[in-house]
Amino acid sequence: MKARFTRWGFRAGFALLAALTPATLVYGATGEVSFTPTGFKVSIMRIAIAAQSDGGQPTSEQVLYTCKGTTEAECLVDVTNQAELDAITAQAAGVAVQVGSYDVISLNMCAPGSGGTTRVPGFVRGAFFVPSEGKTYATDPDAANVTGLKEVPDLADAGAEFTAIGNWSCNTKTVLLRTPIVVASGAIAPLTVVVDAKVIAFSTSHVSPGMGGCRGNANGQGRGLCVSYPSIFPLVSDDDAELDRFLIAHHRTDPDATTRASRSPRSSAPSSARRPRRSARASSWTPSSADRATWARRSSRASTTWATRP
Amino acid sequence: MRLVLRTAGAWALVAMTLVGCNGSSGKNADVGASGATGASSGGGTSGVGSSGSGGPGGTSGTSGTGGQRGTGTVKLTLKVK
Repeated sequence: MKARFTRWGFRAGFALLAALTPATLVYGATGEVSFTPTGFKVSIMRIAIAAQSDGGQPTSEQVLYTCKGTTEAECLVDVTNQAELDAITAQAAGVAVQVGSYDVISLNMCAPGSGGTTRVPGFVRGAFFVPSEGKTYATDPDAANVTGLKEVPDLADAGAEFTAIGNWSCNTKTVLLRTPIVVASGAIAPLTVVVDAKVIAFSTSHVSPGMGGCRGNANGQGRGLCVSYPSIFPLVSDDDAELDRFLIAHHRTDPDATTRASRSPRSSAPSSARRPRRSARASSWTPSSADRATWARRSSRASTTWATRP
Repeated sequence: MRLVLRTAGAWALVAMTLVGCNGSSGKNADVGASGATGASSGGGTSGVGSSGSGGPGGTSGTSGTGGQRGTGTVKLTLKVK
């Protein structure tokens, strides 16, 4: 039986956003596209758990994994590749942890001495379709290509390859566990961490290379490529985790959105019993404007489970 | 004339002594009671200080040392979604 893991923090955050702002503010601009990369290499230097103090600082840190390399380049991991994550799991097996209760996990992408402003290598691979342009783009490994993107005929034969992420700095992601992990003497405590790169990359028609994680023309004009840090979701269990996903951004003028909305089941009250079907595209489904408004209102009460599932 | 003055002085001295004894006794009683309460709720040996800090001090000591020795293992699993 699968354990269900919900993005509680995300849900609460969006509920607050929906409650405080008009629904129209959650839409992206025309030409903005998010996509799920087929490859995403980031440096994973260290994974640790800790107990959060009253002041919010991690204490009693226990390191579960340390990369054998010393630089970020030596510790690149494709977080979309299960085999590479399994290698980390194997190395972390059997590491002794001080008995206690821990409620935060951190994924450190920085080598010792590096900080949030240190430029580090990172690579992404993927392709996406821009409905408003009727064009398909793929990541291009050619370093001479300023944007890291090339136009390709279609998604089926995109020929995407890894390209360097622009303006990419290292980072430490620290996530509060929903329930603490309690380590007892001589016992084994399971901890599953879902690494999620779903729609983690995006592209717009105005990308500046000064934007974090982005590659674009120096003048900020023209389509560029941006990537965010991978999401991690810890679960104190060894069950297979299941994620709820919430679609929050589509532009009302996006032709693709309009087309799909006309094909979508109409309803006045979307519910978990009528989840949208997934599409081959990362931007899988678009509700009608009426549904979006309803969804926003329902979300403000944090009661909806209207979501796509992996 | 001198006898009258001595009488008044003696009564004043008695009165001052009584007041001093009463005040001193009251304060000592309060301090003693507070100290005892602090030590009791803290469960430790250093609850003599003030009544406010005695409790937290005992709680901290308990969680830090009460059978939290030894090591276990975390079975870490990373999964792609």
